[in-house]
Amino acid sequence: MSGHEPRWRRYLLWIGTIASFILSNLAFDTLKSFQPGRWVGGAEYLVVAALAAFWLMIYAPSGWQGFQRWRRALPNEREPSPLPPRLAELQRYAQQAEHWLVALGSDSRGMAAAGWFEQAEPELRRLLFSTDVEPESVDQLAWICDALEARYVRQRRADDLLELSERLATIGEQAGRRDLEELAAVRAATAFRLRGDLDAATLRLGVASNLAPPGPSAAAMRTRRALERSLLQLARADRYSPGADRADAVLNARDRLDDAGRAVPRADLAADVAIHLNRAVVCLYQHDTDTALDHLRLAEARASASRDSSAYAHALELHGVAAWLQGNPGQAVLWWQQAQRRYADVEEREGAARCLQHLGSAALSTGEGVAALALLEESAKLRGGTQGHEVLERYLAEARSQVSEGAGPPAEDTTGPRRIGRIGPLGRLRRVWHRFVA
Amino acid sequence: MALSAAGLELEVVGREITGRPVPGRTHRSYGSYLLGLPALVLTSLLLVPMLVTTIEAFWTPDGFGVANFAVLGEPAVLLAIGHTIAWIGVAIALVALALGIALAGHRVTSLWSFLQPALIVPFAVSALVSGAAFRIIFDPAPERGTISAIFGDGAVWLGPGLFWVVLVSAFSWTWLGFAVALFRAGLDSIPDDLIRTVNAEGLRGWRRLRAVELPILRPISGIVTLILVVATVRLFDLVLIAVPDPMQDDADVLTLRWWRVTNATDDHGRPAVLALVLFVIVAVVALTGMRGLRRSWAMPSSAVPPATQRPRARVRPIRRRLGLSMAVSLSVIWLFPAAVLIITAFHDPNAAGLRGWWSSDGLGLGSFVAASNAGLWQALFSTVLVAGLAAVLVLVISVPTAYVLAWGGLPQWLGKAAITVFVLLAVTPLPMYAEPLRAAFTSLGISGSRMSLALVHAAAGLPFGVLLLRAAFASASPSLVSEALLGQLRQSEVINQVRQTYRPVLVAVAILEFVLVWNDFVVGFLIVGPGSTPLSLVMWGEARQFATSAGTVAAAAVVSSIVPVVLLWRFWPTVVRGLTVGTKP
Repeated sequence: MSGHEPRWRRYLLWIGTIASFILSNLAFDTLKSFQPGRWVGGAEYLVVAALAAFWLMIYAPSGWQGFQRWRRALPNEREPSPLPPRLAELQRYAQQAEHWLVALGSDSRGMAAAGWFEQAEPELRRLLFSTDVEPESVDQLAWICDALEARYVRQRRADDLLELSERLATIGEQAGRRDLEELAAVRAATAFRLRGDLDAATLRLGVASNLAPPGPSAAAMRTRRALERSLLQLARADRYSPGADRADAVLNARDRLDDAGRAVPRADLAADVAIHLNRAVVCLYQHDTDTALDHLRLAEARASASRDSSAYAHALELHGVAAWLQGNPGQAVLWWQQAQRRYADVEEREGAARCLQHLGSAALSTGEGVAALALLEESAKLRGGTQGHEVLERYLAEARSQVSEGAGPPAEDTTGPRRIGRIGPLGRLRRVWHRFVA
Repeated sequence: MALSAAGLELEVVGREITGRPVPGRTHRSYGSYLLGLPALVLTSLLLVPMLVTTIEAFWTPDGFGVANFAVLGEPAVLLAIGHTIAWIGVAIALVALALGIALAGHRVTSLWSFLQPALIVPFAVSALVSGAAFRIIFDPAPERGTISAIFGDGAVWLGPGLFWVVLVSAFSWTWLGFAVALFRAGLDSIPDDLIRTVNAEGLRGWRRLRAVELPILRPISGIVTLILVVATVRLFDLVLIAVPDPMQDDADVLTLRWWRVTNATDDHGRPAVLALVLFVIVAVVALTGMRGLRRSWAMPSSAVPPATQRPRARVRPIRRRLGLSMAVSLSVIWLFPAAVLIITAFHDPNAAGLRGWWSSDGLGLGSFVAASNAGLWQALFSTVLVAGLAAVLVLVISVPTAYVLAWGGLPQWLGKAAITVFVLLAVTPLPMYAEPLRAAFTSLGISGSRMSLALVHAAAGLPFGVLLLRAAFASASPSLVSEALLGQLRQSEVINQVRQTYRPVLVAVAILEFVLVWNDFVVGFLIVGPGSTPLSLVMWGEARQFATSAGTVAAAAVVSSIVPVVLLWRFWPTVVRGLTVGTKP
């Protein structure tokens, strides 16, 4: 609230407090003239003390924060020494990285950001791994880490992410910054989870919890730890076959998301979106599509508020999954098509490939082998192959065999999606027949 | 992560938080909860009496027990329960019929443009009015009753067994149009690209119905079924006026039985048991149908391309003419009871009592004078006040409450619980709270006051208003709410914007509440008592000697129906839009 508090309200409180002091003083003076006695004086002190306590409660926190800001800013203001050239280059890149990090995945400049990162990534990595850790360079190095991390997570590059988190851990250790070490541990957990090493991920999260220094970002870090724990639980649920263990893991994931929801700072819109999206995922695992849609609605609202096209596309994609679960395959296809376009707009290949995979598998289920194969091959192309994508691999093989069998008569499946793409000769015959019957 | 669903393996991934951690403290705002406070106060007007009734059902002279439930074994009660369940069957059959008509109207458009206005009129008039109209039409004496005159002396239409025909037709006359209109709105909102896809695939007939129309109408069917079932379970005044006194026991439904048991004894336990049973029946139906009231798979507005006017499919002339003639004849049949009522009203009381509406003897304004002498005008004034006050109260209180439920950031369990409570309250039958409220009003000395009548009406209408508005807010465009979530707008400004954007829902809530209160008989009759003299009580007073006062009743019915009919006719498209905003596919 304090961040968004309008200025006039602070003044109003000042004026109100001073006015209360004056008015109470006047009132007690008047009272004293009527009824001179000790209790009036005592009451006056009491009221003044209460007012002062109230005043302190309101202003002390912001005053203390202001003082700390002033103290931190002091040395820089006192001696604005020119930066040495190597640090100047680092600073320039760090600032640019931060600038483009904000744009990454946004609807207006998402594509440009992806392009910039594509070009600048080697240089950023060189700077990150070659620059010595000194008090002047720590923040800049951390910025570069932040920017690269966002890119690697989007592209699901687990190994690069792990390397990055190790570098950040070193930086934090050398600079004595426990907050950076904590951040590095959480990122390492994400990397291990993406690699499928869930035990190592759990271990890193434990390390992060042990570090957890107090500070202005403590709440955001608490949120991240809880969110990563919930994703870990979902990954665990995936390893179990349907049953009590799986249901337990999903429930655990939901509890961790509740923790994250309680911890999230108000200004952290991206975290809020992520929490809602993950809640929707948990609900989808529980086949509770109605609640999933409620969360997706909130996620969409927040994503569009923060112009986060990537998160918006993610919500659309999950919307499609919910529609499929509800038995509305036609709608599901529409949602996935939209999501795929959005992902493509922000150059998020992994997301677009996922949507193409959904669309391809949906087409496959209605016996449209040719259309399915095209979609699935496009998906594989975007991912640079099928390695590590078992579902895609399986569907591709299925599509190929369906096509090579000459696309036999499609199964009469009323639960399957409404068809998209071209209609084969048999389909045309069927259509003529139905027209004739109707 | 992969999710197996309906024959597909879908790769579902969660979302990580990336970038730099945002500084800031965890913030919880409880301020928005205060917006729900007025609703809590108003609904406690129902909740507390409901609690009292529940306790009374289990309270016996020897302490808590289930001895009162022995009342359920009485033959009369069993008969009433059976009738109530049969009525639920009628409601479901009506839903199916309405769906059929809506589909026919959807395919032959000219049918609809004629039929719609005719279908609205019955929904706008009260159960008392429709009961009176059907009683006049089915009067057993061939010199007075239309049907008896046509079919001769063979059947006594208001006699044993056959009065069911009268009751069911009167009920269907009231509700069918409403149900058809809602289905029709649902069919109209099928997205264009879906229709194009369906057309491209050449889906026709049953396949199209099963694949496209039925799934899309699912949420609306839920609402329509819920509304109709609740209407049948609450059936009270229609039976009271349409069935002649000697047959009343044969036509008993649970609400009526409750009323008779309440009047017959001083014992609170037995009627409380009946009220509780009634409540349980409705609650089960409502909770099952609740999924319809939840938005099920609405597209965000940004994802749906703006609706463009579809060029109407060209209809073959023969089909068009057939549709037109069908529509005209259906409208005439549908408006017939209203016409009978109006013509009867323009006969003198004596002439109306002796001869049928078609006779030209005794034409005049005598019946209106008689109705005026019975206190019609004062009742009209009283009703305007009460209905207006109730509508304003419902609107003022339900907007902030619905906003909190939709966007107030309530914890998930609390939001779900609140919605469940509102659904249950929306369908709670009157016997659940009537007796304790009446007793409370009497002991406070405010029974018979207009204010208390308006308050009870507002409390009873609030849940439905809240649910409707919540569904509408929930389908609000994300960009509208996004600014509020970012903290750039104050909550009051958001509510303001929402109010402007969701005018149709607000109009629907206000108009429906006004019309419902205007047409109400039961609340005024059972809780507040005659002091507040709403219109329906005056009509009821006259209708007790139906044979002699048919003209007076018809005149009062005509006068009392003008306002609701005009209101609904004028705002019908907005009301339907408002009712279906939250269920748009």
